[in-house]
Amino acid sequence: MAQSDMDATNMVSLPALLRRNAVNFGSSAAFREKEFGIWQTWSWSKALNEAESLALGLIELGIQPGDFVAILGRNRPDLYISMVAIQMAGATPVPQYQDSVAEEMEYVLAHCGAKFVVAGDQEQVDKVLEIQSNLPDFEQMIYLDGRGLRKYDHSKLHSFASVMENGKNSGQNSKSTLKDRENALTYDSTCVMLYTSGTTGRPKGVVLSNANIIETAKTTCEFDDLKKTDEIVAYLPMAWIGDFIFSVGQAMWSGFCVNCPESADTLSTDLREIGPTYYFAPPRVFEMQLTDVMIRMEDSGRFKKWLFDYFMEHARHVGGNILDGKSVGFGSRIKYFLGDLAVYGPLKNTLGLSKVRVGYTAGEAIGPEIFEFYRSLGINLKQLYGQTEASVYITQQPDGEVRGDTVGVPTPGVEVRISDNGEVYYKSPGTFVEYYKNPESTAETKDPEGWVATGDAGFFEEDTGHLRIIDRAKDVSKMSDGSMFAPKYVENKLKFYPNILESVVFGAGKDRCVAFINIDLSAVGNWAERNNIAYSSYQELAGHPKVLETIQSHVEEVNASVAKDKMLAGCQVHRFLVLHKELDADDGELTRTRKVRRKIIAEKFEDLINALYDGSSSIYTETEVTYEDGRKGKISATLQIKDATTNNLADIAAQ
Amino acid sequence: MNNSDGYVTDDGRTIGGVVMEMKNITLRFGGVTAIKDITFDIREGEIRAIIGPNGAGKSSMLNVVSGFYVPQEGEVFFRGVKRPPVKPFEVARQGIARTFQNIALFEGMSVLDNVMTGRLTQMTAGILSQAIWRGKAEQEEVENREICERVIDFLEIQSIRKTPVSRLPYGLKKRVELARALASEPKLLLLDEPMAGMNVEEKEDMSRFIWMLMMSLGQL
Repeated sequence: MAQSDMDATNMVSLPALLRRNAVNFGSSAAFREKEFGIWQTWSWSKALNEAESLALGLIELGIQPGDFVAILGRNRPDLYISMVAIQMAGATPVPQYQDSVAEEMEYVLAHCGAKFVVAGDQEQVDKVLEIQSNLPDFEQMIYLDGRGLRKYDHSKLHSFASVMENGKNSGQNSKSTLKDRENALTYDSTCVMLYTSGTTGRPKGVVLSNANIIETAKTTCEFDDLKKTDEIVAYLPMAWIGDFIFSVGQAMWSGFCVNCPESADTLSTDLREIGPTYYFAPPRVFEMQLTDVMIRMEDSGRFKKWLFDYFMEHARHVGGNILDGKSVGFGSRIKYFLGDLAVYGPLKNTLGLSKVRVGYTAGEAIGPEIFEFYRSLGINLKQLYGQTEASVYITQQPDGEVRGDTVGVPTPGVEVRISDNGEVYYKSPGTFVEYYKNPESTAETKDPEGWVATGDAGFFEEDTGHLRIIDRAKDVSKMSDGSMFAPKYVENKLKFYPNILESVVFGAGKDRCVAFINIDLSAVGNWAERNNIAYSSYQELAGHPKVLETIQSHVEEVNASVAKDKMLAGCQVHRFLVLHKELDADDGELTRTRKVRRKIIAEKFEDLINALYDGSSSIYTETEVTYEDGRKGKISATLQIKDATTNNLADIAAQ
Repeated sequence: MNNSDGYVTDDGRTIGGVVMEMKNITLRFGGVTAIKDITFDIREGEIRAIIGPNGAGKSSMLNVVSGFYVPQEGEVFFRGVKRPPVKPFEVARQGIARTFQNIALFEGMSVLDNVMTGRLTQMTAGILSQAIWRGKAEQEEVENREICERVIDFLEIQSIRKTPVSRLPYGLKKRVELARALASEPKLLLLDEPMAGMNVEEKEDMSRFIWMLMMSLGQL
């Protein structure tokens, strides 16, 4: 890499990378954020100036080496810059999920003993003030957006601008302190601490060193040839390792620009305006986008609908092959070109994906239809597999070897092996240092040689060397007759229907499987509108007989597909119900990254599961819900329980 | 009634002197007396609510304040000066902005354009300059756009900036109306039934905006 020639060996920390970029790239854009309707730009040199001022300001406030500083807020350049500034001052940034309720935040802030907090706005400030009496280590809070904070007690509150101003005007003492602390940073110093979302139990603080982040950034930037000219849009939670690697690690390493949207609601417009070349989204985002496209096509005129269907059919056949550089007939290419003019091009533009050179999805299995849809449009969407403990990357798909059902080959530098019981283990330069204040869990996960257990079951395909993930090892179990029970496999199949947002399948140790279904309000709501079905609430729509009928047909289709797989035929869903509320992270049913917390759901809705197994046709239930501001309430409903047709393995064999 | 002195509320807010004073207002439409001998004042930094059943004359009162109706009896003082009968646009120039009970936006125009109309009283560029978009017109537009963008940011309507108003739901239209009123940087803001027809969530939002406005005395 040409730009890293400048004493590449000294690039042992984020501040060092920032300084290199300020020298090498100076006035080119490091960050952009849309504010007051205009994209505001931070050049690399401005970013460095701000980071220095803020670091000095933090030293003036009394930050000490080894302190933890929590970062709460949506993706904003100032918050990314603070992470580097915190490191400069010798402390460790701990980004938090901005939509966490105060109680969840309390656990994490108390666990790491955060002394300082950088908060985005009043909402975040309020949360910390609410729990501060339980945070003995908490000292000072810095806020970015001062709206609504005028009358607050400012003895512990400082505006971001004033801290920077203090830093700028600080004396020689602070400046030499900063220099010493920055020079003391090594490849082994802690770079960041990120809390796992905690599918099971309490979140754990994953300590990642500079070496973890920078080595990972280095190899993966080379893998996908990420350059200074690339653009990304940073919209995923800052507390998530993926965002840290993409928007901080890789961005600092290769010098590309990180664009922050104006607000969560404007994301689609902002995406379109920026046109990222490097894009990441979890399967859920792609599913939602596709659902949205399909809904709008349903509402469009007959000609447009026909045009869309006609060319999408063609793209399905040849789009993926063209993308992979395989041989495709001349006529098909011409037709694809026309389709690009009429449908694919404008569609990609609307989605803001016109310029995407490298796109990734990870976190969960993506539906093959959804994956193929994007690839057939000519978007180079690939899959990767990883986790916080690995600084994301374990395996990823190289260009030209992209398939819906694998997660790719091991990332350069990563060793992967499959244990005797099928669990995936890895060892890599990105392997985390430890779980903070939790040596038992560290020892359970990472063995002395550095092999880390992923908790996922998988296998390597013999001919291609690609890794395939079956399910979380903990979730895979046996049914009462001894056959394999892999709930996620069935749930993913169900979720691929636009009408189904979420599903949870139960059946471990039982003779048959049952399921909870969550409808997708936008898809089902739109369907209801088109069919003149009136409803006044989510609950009413979820219980509508016609909706149940539709869901039933989806479940039966899934059953037919599951039945074809000999090993998993036992996982067919015999009975199901449509839940009266959306599963929600605020209620603890999902993690903040929206993964299902099976055990908690099973405990919370025990009455419903019992009803599914005892044959009753309906059940009355009351559920406690948490509102976004932390208040609690109760909703009650009588849910219908439906039987779904299942298929006998023998019948299928006979056909 | 003391005009100059303010007072401090229980929760520590400072209420300033009288901004607007209505003295013995009586308004009649032919034989119908809509308002009879009403006297009240509005002070700086305070929220003054006018409540009453249907037909009590709430909207009529607001129309008197904003200069739509001229009362048959009584006097209106604005910032210490007695106000002669004036045209509504003159009232607007004096720094009084209002929203309407039945939303009165330009349905075919975008949210941003609607908010920009709130700045019209501050624009002085001639029609020619506006048409060729040079010099003063351009400079004025940039300055005024910035003020509007601050309002848009404050009311959290960035995502509908370019959306035609006709496509918005009722609650958002109300918010756009408030945005237009705020764009004129008013000294006195009149809200006619700001929460009529809203759901709980929209009402909470609207209360929050009004409260935050008052806490910051309109400084966005």
